[in-house]
Amino acid sequence: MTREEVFKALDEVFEEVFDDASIHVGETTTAKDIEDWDSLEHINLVVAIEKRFSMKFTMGEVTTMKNVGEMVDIILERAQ
Amino acid sequence: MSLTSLNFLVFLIVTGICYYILPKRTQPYCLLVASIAFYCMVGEPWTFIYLFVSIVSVYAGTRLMEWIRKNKPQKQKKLCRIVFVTVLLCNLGILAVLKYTNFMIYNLAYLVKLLHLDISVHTVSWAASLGISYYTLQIVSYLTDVYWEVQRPQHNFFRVALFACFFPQMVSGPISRYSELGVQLEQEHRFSLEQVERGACRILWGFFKKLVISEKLAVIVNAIYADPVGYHGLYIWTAMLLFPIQIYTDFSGCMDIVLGAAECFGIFLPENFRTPFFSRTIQEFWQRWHITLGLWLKDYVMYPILKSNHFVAMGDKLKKKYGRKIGKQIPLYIAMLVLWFCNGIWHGNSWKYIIGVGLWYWFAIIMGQIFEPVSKRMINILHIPTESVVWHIFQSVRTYIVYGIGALFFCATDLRNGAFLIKCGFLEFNPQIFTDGSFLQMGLDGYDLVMLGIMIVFAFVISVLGRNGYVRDKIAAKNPLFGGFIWIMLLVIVLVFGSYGNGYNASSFIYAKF
Repeated sequence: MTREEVFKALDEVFEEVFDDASIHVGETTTAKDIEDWDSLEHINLVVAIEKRFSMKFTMGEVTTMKNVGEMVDIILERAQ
Repeated sequence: MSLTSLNFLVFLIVTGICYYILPKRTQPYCLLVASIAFYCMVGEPWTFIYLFVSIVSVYAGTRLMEWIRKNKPQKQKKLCRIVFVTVLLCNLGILAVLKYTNFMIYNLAYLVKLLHLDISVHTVSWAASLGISYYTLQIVSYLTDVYWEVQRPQHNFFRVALFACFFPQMVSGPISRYSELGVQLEQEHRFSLEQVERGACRILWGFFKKLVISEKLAVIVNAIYADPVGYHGLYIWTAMLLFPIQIYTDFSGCMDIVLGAAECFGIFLPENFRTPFFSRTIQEFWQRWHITLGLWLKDYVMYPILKSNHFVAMGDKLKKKYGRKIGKQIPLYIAMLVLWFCNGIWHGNSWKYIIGVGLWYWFAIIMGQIFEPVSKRMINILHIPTESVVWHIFQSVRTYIVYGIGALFFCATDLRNGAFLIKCGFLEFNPQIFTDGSFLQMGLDGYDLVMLGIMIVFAFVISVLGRNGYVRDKIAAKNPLFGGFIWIMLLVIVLVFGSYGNGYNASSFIYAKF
C-alpha cells in the first residue's frame, strides 16, 4: 500500500467518523483542523482506522501521535 | 511549612544558592536532598517509607521490563504485563489502603446495617504520605509509559526518586510526565538572573491570589457554610457563587508559587489552568481546570477502557442493533462515568466528592451532548449569533454556575450536608441582605469588602490580558523601570492587603489535602 493510498483510505474513515464528506486529511492535519475531533472522538477514530487497516495501534501510540502523518507512518510500518 | 510561609521562601533561597553554587552535575542530587528535607519538614518523616516503596517498586519494575525485552523477546508481552500489573497494583494498593480504608469500612458497615445486622465499626487512623495522590499518579504514568514503550526507563535510581518527589510540586502537583519533567531534571542548569526574576514574579502573583483574594473570600464562604440555617436563602447562593473564585485563586495561586519556584531552578512544569472561567461548556471547563489531572485520567483511564476489546465489541454490537450513533455514544458514556468516578474519588474518600466533583459533572456533560441537537435547533430558530460576546458571556456564566453547584459539595461536611446546604438556599428569598449590612457581620468590614471587590476585578483583568500569552512577558517587554514599578506595587498590595503574619495562620491550600 502506498502512502497516497493510505491517505485516500483515511479520508473515507474520517468522513464516516465525523460525518463530513468534505474532510481531506494531509501529513500535518491535527485535531485542531477538524471541528469535531476532540479527546472523546479521538478513540472512535483510532478504532475505526484499526478496523479499516486490520491493524492495532499501541496505547502509547494512541496518546502520543501528533498528526495524521505520524498515523500514516505507523499504518505503513504495520503493513510491512 | 506552608508554601505561603516565610520558612518556605527561606528554604527556597537556601536550596537555590546550593543548587547554583554546587557543580552542575550534582544539581539533581541537591534537589533530591532538598526534596527529602522538605518532606521531613512538612509531612510525617516516617511516612516517607511509603513513597520510598513506590519509587523502588517502579524503578525495579521498569528496569525489569527493559531486561525482559532484551533477554526474553519471545515472552516479553506476557512477562512485561505481569510486571506492569504487579507494580501498578502495589502502588494503587498503597494509595487505596492509606486513603480509602475508612471509606470502605463505612460503606461496608452501611451495607451490613441494611441487612439489619448489628456490628461495631472500627476505623483506622493511618497517616498517608505527603502528596500521595499526586506522586502516585505521576509515578504510575512513568511506569505505564515504559510499559507502552513511549518512555525509555531511567537507569539512575536517584533521578527516578527526584521525579517522584521534586519538592515544589510534591504537595499540590501539577502531575507531570517523565517526558516533560524527568528530562529537565537530568539537564544541567546555568544561573540566569532573568529566569529567577520571572520565577519570583510568578511566586508573588501566587501570593497575591492566595493571601489577598482567596483568604478573604474564605472568611465569607466559611461563615455561611458553617451556619446554613442562620445564613440561609441568598446567603447560600452567594457563597456558592463566591466559592469557585475562592478555590480558583487558592489552587491556581498555589500553582503559580509551585511553577515559579520550579522556574527559579530552570525547570518548567506543565500549566494546570488556562483561564477556565472563560469556558463555554463544562466539558471545556475541565479541559482548562486542573489540566494535568484531566489529561492523566483521559490517557491512563478513559482511553485504555475505550480501546479495550470488550468495549470495541460492545460498540459493534450496539451499532448493529441500535445504529451508529448509539453504538458510539453508550461505550463513551460508560468510560466517561468511570473517568468522572475516578476524578471524584481522587479528590477525597467521601461520597460528597464522588457525587459533587465527579458524577455531577459527568451528568452535566452527558446532558449537554444529548440535548445538543435541540440546543442547536433553538439557536437557529432564535437566530442567536453564537460568536457574539453576549452569547459567550451567557455560556460562561452558565458553565460557572454548573461548576459552582458541584463545588458546593467541596465545602459540605458530607453528601447529606451538601444537600442540606442546597435546601437552605430555598428557605427564604432575602435580597435585603445585600443592602442592610449583613455581610459586614461576617468578619470583613466595608473597607475589606470594597478592596476585595477591586482585587477580584484586578485579577480578572490580568486573566483577560493573559489569555494570549504571559502578562509577565508583556511587562518585561516594556521599560525595565515600568516592570519594576509594577512588581513592587504588587508586593506592596500583598503586604498591605494580604492575610498573613503573627497571630494569623493562612489556611492550607485546598488542593494540598490530597
